[in-house]
Amino acid sequence: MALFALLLAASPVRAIETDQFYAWGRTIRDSTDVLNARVNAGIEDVLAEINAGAHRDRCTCEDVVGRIVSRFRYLLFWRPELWAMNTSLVDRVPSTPEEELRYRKEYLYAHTSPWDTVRRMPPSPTIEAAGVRFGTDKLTHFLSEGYLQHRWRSGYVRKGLAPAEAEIRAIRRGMLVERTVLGMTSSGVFSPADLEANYAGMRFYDGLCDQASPVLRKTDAGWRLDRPLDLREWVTPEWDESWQPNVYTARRWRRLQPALREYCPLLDDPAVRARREAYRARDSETPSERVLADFARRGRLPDPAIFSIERVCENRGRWGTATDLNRLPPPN
Amino acid sequence: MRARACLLALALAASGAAGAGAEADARAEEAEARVREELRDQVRRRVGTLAVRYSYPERLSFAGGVLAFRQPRDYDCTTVCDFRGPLAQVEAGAGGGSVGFGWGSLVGERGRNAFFLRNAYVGYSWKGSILRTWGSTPLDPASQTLVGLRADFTISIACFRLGAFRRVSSAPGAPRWLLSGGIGWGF
Repeated sequence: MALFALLLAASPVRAIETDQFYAWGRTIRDSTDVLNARVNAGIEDVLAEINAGAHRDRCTCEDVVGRIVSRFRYLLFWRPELWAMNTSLVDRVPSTPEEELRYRKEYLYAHTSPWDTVRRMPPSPTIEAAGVRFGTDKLTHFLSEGYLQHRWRSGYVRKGLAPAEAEIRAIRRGMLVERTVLGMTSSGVFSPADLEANYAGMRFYDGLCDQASPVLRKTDAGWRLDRPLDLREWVTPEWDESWQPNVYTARRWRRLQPALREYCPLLDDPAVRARREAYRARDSETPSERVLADFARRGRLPDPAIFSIERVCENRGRWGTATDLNRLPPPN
Repeated sequence: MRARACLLALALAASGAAGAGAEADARAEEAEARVREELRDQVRRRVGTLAVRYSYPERLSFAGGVLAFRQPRDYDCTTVCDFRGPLAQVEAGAGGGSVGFGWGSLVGERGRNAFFLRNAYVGYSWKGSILRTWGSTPLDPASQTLVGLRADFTISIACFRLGAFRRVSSAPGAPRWLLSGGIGWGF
């Protein structure tokens, strides 16, 4: 019985979803500088502690990275994510506690059973950095799963794989996690946007101890951060789940389509159009997308494009606007 | 003339880029100062905890406690927050009761409640506890006093506990050590 309760309780682990559509038509101040500052402050504090300690000379670069990770790690939600969800320095949608409670009743995944695993965890608000909107959960993906993938990639390189092959293997392994415990199996949602944040995080950690040009450098005065984190280097339009569509199980997709269709009229909103144009100009095929496309080609995952808002809204002229929802045809 | 114009344009572009770079640096410095200030400006707060558990040897019990923590002043915690700090809890049930002091760490929220946690999404605590059994406890004799350590884990809708206690009261023939466990709801 205890084991059953444990399994039931653990099922929503990291089944934490976000909804960037909810932020359509609303303004969000860009928070790149404060987000950078928060992460860099954490890193600088760790370096100061290491440099003041007796063992600083015995610390390897990977030891330092491990200490940085420990500084950010917390229970499922890592500290920078919790900070971004609470601080008044980061603008977000929803922005106030009242709005947040309303968000939980109205966001994409709200119209499901109260026993739905997704609803047992709080949804992530949307923030903006480097001109891209994304859920605060991406900060944890970047720092947490990114570190995991970095470790896997390093392990594969140690085993003799070429760096490019090691990277692909690490992405595939990350994808397996997203398809099982962190996504598809636990919540019926597979998020390529999460994978993009994981990939960016892996590259960030790879760079910290890169042999040719390490970001962390050991000097006579101790460890120092040569190039502070700048999210502009890492955040891409693919982090935005209204741009990079999720892949859903059939059951989840059936429930989700009506809610998605409500956003079709907003595709004509000038701000939404401008943002999607800007995304289109910046978007390029990433290594994660290549792996994903390979999975889709081999039939191991549906093509994410079929879940895009454009596809959902293709025939919108035939079924009216958001106010005519009661006349919508049943989901396919 | 054309060369001079090109040079002038280049100089203007360079100064423009330098100006933009300086502006970006200033913005980054200001952001860092504000983040540092927020992290420094922390206040002490308390939050109440509630739990219902079925555990051995207390059977069905109710627990309440207080967790003290520090947080940036502008955190509201109506919605998701991290709470970390010393924890005191009392618990009473059909078969016994306990008082424990230790450390708690969780991600949760108060909702609209001013004091008590409404949701604990994930968390753990460990406590040094004094446990007194009575009434319908399965222990024999029913009245025993034990001291020990207890760890509780909460995830989503359920909490789990494990503990080890040593008997300090006189109970001839009863085992000196006791392992405790249970499941329930809350933190």
